[in-house]
Amino acid sequence: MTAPTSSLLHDRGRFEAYAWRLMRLSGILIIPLVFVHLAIMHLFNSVYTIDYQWVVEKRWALLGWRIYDAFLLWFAGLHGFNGLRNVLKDYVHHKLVYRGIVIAMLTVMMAVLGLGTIALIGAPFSPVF
Amino acid sequence: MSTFIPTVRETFRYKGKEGQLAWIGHRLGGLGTLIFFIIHVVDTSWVYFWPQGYHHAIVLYRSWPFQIGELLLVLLVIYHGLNGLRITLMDWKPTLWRYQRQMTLGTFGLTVLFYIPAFIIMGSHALKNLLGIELF
Repeated sequence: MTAPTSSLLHDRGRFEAYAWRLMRLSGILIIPLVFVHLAIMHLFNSVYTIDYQWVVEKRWALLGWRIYDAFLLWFAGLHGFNGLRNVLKDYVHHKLVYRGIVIAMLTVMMAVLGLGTIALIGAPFSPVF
Repeated sequence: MSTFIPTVRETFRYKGKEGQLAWIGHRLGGLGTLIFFIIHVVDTSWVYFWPQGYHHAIVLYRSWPFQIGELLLVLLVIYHGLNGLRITLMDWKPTLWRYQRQMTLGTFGLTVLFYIPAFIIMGSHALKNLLGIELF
């Protein structure tokens, strides 16, 4: 299926179908994950009660919260960066420019998800600082 | 690039009423949240990589500019989530498109309803810790 205004950029077969499905599934999952995260971090606690000790002793001391944060990290990250790619398609119609920006975005995404994942796995279970 | 400027300009000039407002809000909410997400994941990872850096980040978040940013961020996230749910519901049950206008306005209303208590509670945290004013 090739619409008159579309190009290879916009019509890449099954990939876009999977990307669309990812947005729906991750979106539905993120809603409870984010709303609970906001309530705990911004309403029941705040940046005035959260600090290094709090994160290590009250949150990441429990494996369950690390798993929770890992789900939030990956689903929100994939959802956000794919969303950015969708927005980009509306404004950038030059194939090479689009490709360059997508590669840059993927690099940033992998760096962010990598940092977050390593921290969730590696952070100590009791304060060392 | 030739289409970039007109696309951006028409985003704000196009008179699509509440549907256009819903679309702009969803887009700005998504982009704004992504920018914060990137910063937030990096600074939170410092709990492992650089604890002193994490402390600096938290101190920064406690200042007025970042408190105002936090108030805005939570509004964006609530709206983007509820509006995304509306879009998902309407795609799932296409008969709901008959109520598109009502559902869009309902999303705005629900966003305000969710945001008011969040605004009051977060605002009270900031007032208490920055100005010493206790509301509750």
